[in-house]
Amino acid sequence: MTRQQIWSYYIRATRLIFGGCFLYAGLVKFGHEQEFADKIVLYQIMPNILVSPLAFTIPVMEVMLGGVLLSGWRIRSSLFGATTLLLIFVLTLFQAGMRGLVIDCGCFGNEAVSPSGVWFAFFRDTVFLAFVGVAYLGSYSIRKAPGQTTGTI
Amino acid sequence: MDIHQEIIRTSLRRVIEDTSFVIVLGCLSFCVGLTINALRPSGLPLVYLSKEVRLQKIVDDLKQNVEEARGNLPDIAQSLSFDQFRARVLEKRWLILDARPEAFYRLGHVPGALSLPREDFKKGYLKIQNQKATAFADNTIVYCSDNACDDSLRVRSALVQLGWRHVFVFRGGWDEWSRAGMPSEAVK
Repeated sequence: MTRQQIWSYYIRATRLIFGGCFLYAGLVKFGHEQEFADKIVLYQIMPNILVSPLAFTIPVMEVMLGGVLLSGWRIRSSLFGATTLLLIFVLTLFQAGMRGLVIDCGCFGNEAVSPSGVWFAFFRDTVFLAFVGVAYLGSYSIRKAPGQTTGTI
Repeated sequence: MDIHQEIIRTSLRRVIEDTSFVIVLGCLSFCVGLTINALRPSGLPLVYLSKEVRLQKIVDDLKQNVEEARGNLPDIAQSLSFDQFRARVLEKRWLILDARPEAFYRLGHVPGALSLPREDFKKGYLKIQNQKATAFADNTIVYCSDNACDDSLRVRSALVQLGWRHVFVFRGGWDEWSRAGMPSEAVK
Protein backbone atom coordinates (compact mmCIF):
# COMPACT_ATOMS: atom_id res chain seq x y z
CA MET A 1 0.00 0.00 0.00
CA THR A 2 1.46 3.33 -1.04
CA ARG A 3 1.60 6.43 1.11
CA GLN A 4 -0.95 8.10 -1.15
CA GLN A 5 -3.36 5.20 -0.69
CA ILE A 6 -3.03 5.36 3.10
CA TRP A 7 -3.81 9.06 3.04
CA SER A 8 -6.70 8.43 0.71
CA TYR A 9 -8.25 5.82 3.03
CA TYR A 10 -7.66 7.97 6.10
CA ILE A 11 -9.27 11.00 4.48
CA ARG A 12 -12.20 8.95 3.24
CA ALA A 13 -12.82 7.46 6.70
CA THR A 14 -12.45 10.89 8.35
CA ARG A 15 -14.83 12.67 6.01
CA LEU A 16 -17.46 9.92 6.29
CA ILE A 17 -17.31 9.76 10.11
CA PHE A 18 -17.18 13.51 10.69
CA GLY A 19 -19.57 14.24 7.83
CA GLY A 20 -22.07 12.04 9.69
CA CYS A 21 -21.26 13.79 12.97
CA PHE A 22 -21.83 17.26 11.50
CA LEU A 23 -25.01 16.16 9.80
CA TYR A 24 -26.35 14.71 13.06
CA ALA A 25 -25.27 17.75 15.11
CA GLY A 26 -27.05 20.08 12.68
CA LEU A 27 -30.23 18.02 12.38
CA VAL A 28 -30.78 17.67 16.15
CA LYS A 29 -30.71 21.46 16.44
CA PHE A 30 -33.35 22.02 13.76
CA GLY A 31 -36.60 23.17 15.33
CA HIS A 32 -34.80 23.89 18.61
CA GLU A 33 -33.18 27.17 17.62
CA GLN A 34 -34.54 28.96 20.68
CA GLU A 35 -32.92 26.42 23.02
CA PHE A 36 -29.71 26.65 21.03
CA ALA A 37 -29.79 30.45 21.27
CA ASP A 38 -30.22 30.16 25.05
CA LYS A 39 -27.12 27.95 25.14
CA ILE A 40 -25.07 30.35 23.02
CA VAL A 41 -25.91 33.13 25.50
CA LEU A 42 -24.54 31.04 28.37
CA TYR A 43 -21.05 31.20 26.83
CA GLN A 44 -21.16 34.96 27.52
CA ILE A 45 -19.05 35.96 24.54
CA MET A 46 -21.64 37.04 21.99
CA PRO A 47 -23.51 40.35 21.92
CA ASN A 48 -27.30 39.87 21.90
CA ILE A 49 -27.58 41.03 18.32
CA LEU A 50 -25.47 38.10 17.04
CA VAL A 51 -27.10 35.35 19.09
CA SER A 52 -30.18 34.75 16.94
CA PRO A 53 -28.31 34.86 13.60
CA LEU A 54 -25.79 32.35 14.95
CA ALA A 55 -28.55 30.13 16.33
CA PHE A 56 -30.20 29.71 12.95
CA THR A 57 -26.97 29.74 10.88
CA ILE A 58 -24.82 27.16 12.70
CA PRO A 59 -27.27 24.21 12.36
CA VAL A 60 -27.66 24.88 8.61
CA MET A 61 -23.91 25.21 8.22
CA GLU A 62 -23.32 21.93 10.03
CA VAL A 63 -25.85 20.13 7.84
CA MET A 64 -24.40 21.60 4.65
CA LEU A 65 -20.85 20.84 5.70
CA GLY A 66 -21.85 17.31 6.70
CA GLY A 67 -23.55 16.84 3.35
CA VAL A 68 -20.53 18.12 1.42
CA LEU A 69 -18.14 15.91 3.42
CA LEU A 70 -20.28 12.84 2.82
CA SER A 71 -20.80 13.58 -0.86
CA GLY A 72 -17.07 13.80 -1.55
CA TRP A 73 -17.37 17.11 -3.41
CA ARG A 74 -14.49 19.55 -2.77
CA ILE A 75 -13.00 17.36 -0.09
CA ARG A 76 -10.04 19.57 0.75
CA SER A 77 -12.17 22.68 1.11
CA SER A 78 -14.82 20.88 3.14
CA LEU A 79 -12.13 19.47 5.45
CA PHE A 80 -10.84 23.02 5.86
CA GLY A 81 -14.38 24.15 6.72
CA ALA A 82 -14.73 21.36 9.28
CA THR A 83 -11.33 22.22 10.77
CA THR A 84 -12.25 25.90 11.04
CA LEU A 85 -15.60 25.17 12.65
CA LEU A 86 -14.09 22.71 15.13
CA LEU A 87 -11.31 25.17 15.95
CA ILE A 88 -13.92 27.82 16.80
CA PHE A 89 -15.82 25.32 18.95
CA VAL A 90 -12.65 24.25 20.77
CA LEU A 91 -11.61 27.83 21.52
CA THR A 92 -15.12 28.68 22.71
CA LEU A 93 -15.22 25.65 25.00
CA PHE A 94 -11.72 26.39 26.28
CA GLN A 95 -12.63 29.92 27.38
CA ALA A 96 -15.82 28.59 29.01
CA GLY A 97 -13.82 25.95 30.89
CA MET A 98 -11.22 28.46 32.01
CA ARG A 99 -13.91 30.79 33.34
CA GLY A 100 -15.51 27.92 35.25
CA LEU A 101 -18.87 28.13 33.45
CA VAL A 102 -21.14 25.20 34.27
CA ILE A 103 -23.15 24.95 31.06
CA ASP A 104 -24.46 22.51 28.52
CA CYS A 105 -22.14 22.44 25.51
CA GLY A 106 -25.12 22.41 23.12
CA CYS A 107 -23.01 20.62 20.51
CA PHE A 108 -25.37 17.67 20.01
CA GLY A 109 -28.67 18.97 21.33
CA ASN A 110 -29.31 18.56 25.04
CA GLU A 111 -26.37 17.18 26.98
CA ALA A 112 -25.74 16.72 30.67
CA VAL A 113 -24.89 19.87 32.59
CA SER A 114 -22.05 19.23 35.00
CA PRO A 115 -18.88 21.03 36.09
CA SER A 116 -16.85 18.62 33.97
CA GLY A 117 -19.24 18.84 31.00
CA VAL A 118 -17.48 21.72 29.31
CA TRP A 119 -14.04 20.14 29.67
CA PHE A 120 -15.36 16.82 28.38
CA ALA A 121 -16.77 18.59 25.32
CA PHE A 122 -13.50 20.49 24.93
CA PHE A 123 -11.41 17.30 24.89
CA ARG A 124 -13.86 15.53 22.60
CA ASP A 125 -13.80 18.40 20.10
CA THR A 126 -10.01 18.62 20.37
CA VAL A 127 -9.76 14.96 19.34
CA PHE A 128 -12.17 15.63 16.47
CA LEU A 129 -10.10 18.65 15.49
CA ALA A 130 -6.91 16.59 15.49
CA PHE A 131 -8.41 13.94 13.19
CA VAL A 132 -9.96 16.45 10.79
CA GLY A 133 -6.94 18.77 10.86
CA VAL A 134 -4.59 15.92 10.01
CA ALA A 135 -6.92 14.86 7.19
CA TYR A 136 -6.90 18.43 5.85
CA LEU A 137 -3.12 18.64 5.92
CA GLY A 138 -2.92 15.17 4.40
CA SER A 139 -5.18 16.26 1.57
CA TYR A 140 -2.31 18.41 0.27
CA SER A 141 -0.24 15.32 -0.39
CA ILE A 142 -2.83 13.68 -2.62
CA ARG A 143 -2.93 14.42 -6.30
CA LYS A 144 -6.11 14.35 -8.30
CA ALA A 145 -6.23 11.53 -10.83
CA PRO A 146 -6.82 12.59 -14.43
CA GLY A 147 -10.52 12.98 -15.15
CA GLN A 148 -11.60 12.59 -11.52
CA THR A 149 -13.96 15.25 -10.12
CA THR A 150 -15.13 13.67 -6.88
CA GLY A 151 -13.89 11.13 -4.41
CA THR A 152 -10.41 12.59 -4.11
CA ILE A 153 -8.98 16.02 -3.60
CA MET B 1 10.85 28.94 -11.64
CA ASP B 2 12.17 27.82 -8.28
CA ILE B 3 10.35 24.73 -6.98
CA HIS B 4 9.92 26.30 -3.52
CA GLN B 5 8.23 29.32 -4.99
CA GLU B 6 5.93 27.06 -6.97
CA ILE B 7 4.97 25.11 -3.80
CA ILE B 8 4.31 28.33 -1.87
CA ARG B 9 2.23 29.73 -4.70
CA THR B 10 0.16 26.54 -5.04
CA SER B 11 -0.38 26.30 -1.27
CA LEU B 12 -1.42 29.93 -1.10
CA ARG B 13 -3.89 29.44 -3.95
CA ARG B 14 -5.37 26.42 -2.18
CA VAL B 15 -5.70 28.27 1.13
CA ILE B 16 -7.48 31.13 -0.65
CA GLU B 17 -9.77 28.62 -2.38
CA ASP B 18 -10.55 26.87 0.90
CA THR B 19 -11.16 30.13 2.75
CA SER B 20 -13.45 31.32 -0.03
CA PHE B 21 -15.33 28.04 0.19
CA VAL B 22 -15.88 28.49 3.93
CA ILE B 23 -16.98 32.10 3.49
CA VAL B 24 -19.45 31.13 0.74
CA LEU B 25 -20.72 28.22 2.86
CA GLY B 26 -21.19 30.56 5.83
CA CYS B 27 -23.08 33.16 3.78
CA LEU B 28 -25.24 30.50 2.16
CA SER B 29 -26.00 28.96 5.55
CA PHE B 30 -26.96 32.36 6.92
CA CYS B 31 -29.33 33.02 3.99
CA VAL B 32 -30.92 29.55 4.20
CA GLY B 33 -31.19 29.78 8.01
CA LEU B 34 -32.71 33.26 7.79
CA THR B 35 -35.27 32.09 5.21
CA ILE B 36 -36.25 29.01 7.24
CA ASN B 37 -36.50 31.13 10.37
CA ALA B 38 -38.70 33.70 8.61
CA LEU B 39 -41.02 31.02 7.23
CA ARG B 40 -41.38 29.24 10.56
CA PRO B 41 -44.33 30.49 12.67
CA SER B 42 -42.31 30.17 15.87
CA GLY B 43 -39.13 31.61 14.36
CA LEU B 44 -36.53 33.38 16.47
CA PRO B 45 -36.70 37.17 16.75
CA LEU B 46 -33.69 38.69 14.99
CA VAL B 47 -32.50 40.21 18.25
CA TYR B 48 -32.29 37.63 21.01
CA LEU B 49 -34.73 37.98 23.90
CA SER B 50 -33.68 36.53 27.23
CA LYS B 51 -35.82 33.92 29.01
CA GLU B 52 -37.02 36.57 31.48
CA VAL B 53 -38.11 38.94 28.73
CA ARG B 54 -39.87 36.12 26.86
CA LEU B 55 -41.76 35.09 30.02
CA GLN B 56 -42.78 38.69 30.70
CA LYS B 57 -44.09 38.97 27.14
CA ILE B 58 -46.19 35.83 27.62
CA VAL B 59 -47.58 37.19 30.90
CA ASP B 60 -48.40 40.52 29.23
CA ASP B 61 -50.14 38.75 26.35
CA LEU B 62 -52.17 36.67 28.81
CA LYS B 63 -53.10 39.76 30.78
CA GLN B 64 -54.18 41.50 27.60
CA ASN B 65 -56.26 38.47 26.58
CA VAL B 66 -57.90 38.36 29.98
CA GLU B 67 -58.65 42.09 29.81
CA GLU B 68 -60.06 41.73 26.30
CA ALA B 69 -62.15 38.80 27.44
CA ARG B 70 -63.36 40.81 30.42
CA GLY B 71 -64.30 43.66 28.12
CA ASN B 72 -66.30 41.35 25.87
CA LEU B 73 -68.10 39.37 28.53
CA PRO B 74 -70.82 41.90 29.44
CA ASP B 75 -71.91 42.11 25.81
CA ILE B 76 -72.34 38.37 25.47
CA ALA B 77 -72.69 35.85 28.29
CA GLN B 78 -72.63 38.24 31.25
CA SER B 79 -75.31 40.63 30.01
CA LEU B 80 -78.84 40.00 31.24
CA SER B 81 -82.10 40.70 29.45
CA PHE B 82 -84.95 42.60 31.13
CA ASP B 83 -86.85 39.39 31.98
CA GLN B 84 -83.76 37.73 33.44
CA PHE B 85 -83.04 40.83 35.47
CA ARG B 86 -86.60 41.10 36.76
CA ALA B 87 -86.61 37.41 37.79
CA ARG B 88 -83.41 37.85 39.74
CA VAL B 89 -84.63 41.02 41.43
CA LEU B 90 -87.74 39.18 42.57
CA GLU B 91 -85.65 36.27 43.89
CA LYS B 92 -84.07 38.74 46.31
CA ARG B 93 -80.98 36.57 46.61
CA TRP B 94 -78.84 38.64 44.24
CA LEU B 95 -76.83 41.69 45.03
CA ILE B 96 -78.09 44.50 42.80
CA LEU B 97 -75.79 47.46 42.40
CA ASP B 98 -76.70 50.86 41.03
CA ALA B 99 -73.69 52.45 39.27
CA ARG B 100 -75.33 55.84 38.71
CA PRO B 101 -74.35 58.90 40.77
CA GLU B 102 -75.76 58.68 44.29
CA ALA B 103 -78.17 61.61 43.71
CA PHE B 104 -80.05 59.61 41.05
CA TYR B 105 -80.00 56.55 43.28
CA ARG B 106 -81.67 58.57 46.02
CA LEU B 107 -84.42 59.70 43.67
CA GLY B 108 -85.31 56.18 42.69
CA HIS B 109 -83.72 52.76 42.21
CA VAL B 110 -84.53 49.09 41.74
CA PRO B 111 -85.93 47.57 44.96
CA GLY B 112 -83.16 46.19 47.15
CA ALA B 113 -80.37 47.76 45.07
CA LEU B 114 -77.34 49.30 46.74
CA SER B 115 -75.51 52.34 45.49
CA LEU B 116 -72.07 51.85 43.98
CA PRO B 117 -71.47 54.95 41.87
CA ARG B 118 -68.68 54.73 39.32
CA GLU B 119 -67.58 58.28 40.11
CA ASP B 120 -67.24 57.55 43.83
CA PHE B 121 -66.38 53.90 43.59
CA LYS B 122 -64.07 53.58 46.57
CA LYS B 123 -66.52 54.99 49.09
CA GLY B 124 -69.42 52.91 47.76
CA TYR B 125 -67.29 49.78 47.55
CA LEU B 126 -66.20 49.98 51.18
CA LYS B 127 -69.84 50.41 52.20
CA ILE B 128 -71.18 47.41 50.32
CA GLN B 129 -68.25 45.05 50.87
CA ASN B 130 -69.49 43.71 54.20
CA GLN B 131 -73.08 43.36 53.04
CA LYS B 132 -71.96 41.25 50.12
CA ALA B 133 -69.97 38.96 52.36
CA THR B 134 -72.77 38.43 54.87
CA ALA B 135 -76.12 38.78 53.15
CA PHE B 136 -75.72 37.71 49.54
CA ALA B 137 -74.66 34.77 47.46
CA ASP B 138 -71.76 35.13 45.08
CA ASN B 139 -73.96 36.66 42.32
CA THR B 140 -74.13 40.32 41.51
CA ILE B 141 -75.88 42.47 38.89
CA VAL B 142 -74.79 46.00 38.05
CA TYR B 143 -76.94 48.52 36.21
CA CYS B 144 -76.77 52.21 35.41
CA SER B 145 -79.10 54.60 33.58
CA ASP B 146 -79.62 53.03 30.13
CA ASN B 147 -78.07 51.26 27.14
CA ALA B 148 -75.92 54.25 26.26
CA CYS B 149 -74.37 54.25 29.73
CA ASP B 150 -71.12 52.32 30.22
CA ASP B 151 -70.72 52.87 33.96
CA SER B 152 -72.22 49.44 34.73
CA LEU B 153 -69.52 47.84 32.55
CA ARG B 154 -66.78 49.86 34.20
CA VAL B 155 -67.99 49.03 37.69
CA ARG B 156 -68.30 45.36 36.74
CA SER B 157 -64.77 45.36 35.34
CA ALA B 158 -63.46 46.92 38.54
CA LEU B 159 -65.25 44.34 40.69
CA VAL B 160 -63.88 41.47 38.62
CA GLN B 161 -60.38 42.88 39.01
CA LEU B 162 -60.99 42.98 42.75
CA GLY B 163 -61.73 39.27 42.71
CA TRP B 164 -65.52 39.23 42.51
CA ARG B 165 -67.00 36.37 40.56
CA HIS B 166 -70.31 36.00 38.68
CA VAL B 167 -70.83 39.70 38.14
CA PHE B 168 -73.52 40.38 35.54
CA VAL B 169 -74.71 43.56 33.85
CA PHE B 170 -78.21 44.73 33.03
CA ARG B 171 -77.69 47.05 30.06
CA GLY B 172 -81.30 48.30 29.92
CA GLY B 173 -80.68 50.00 33.25
CA TRP B 174 -83.00 52.23 35.27
CA ASP B 175 -84.59 53.60 32.10
CA GLU B 176 -85.91 50.22 30.90
CA TRP B 177 -86.91 49.19 34.43
CA SER B 178 -88.92 52.33 35.15
CA ARG B 179 -90.53 52.49 31.66
CA ALA B 180 -91.85 48.95 32.21
CA GLY B 181 -93.72 50.26 35.27
CA MET B 182 -91.74 48.13 37.69
CA PRO B 183 -91.67 49.01 41.41
CA SER B 184 -88.98 51.29 42.73
CA GLU B 185 -87.56 52.56 45.98
CA ALA B 186 -86.28 55.98 46.93
CA VAL B 187 -84.17 57.34 49.76
CA LYS B 188 -85.92 60.01 51.75
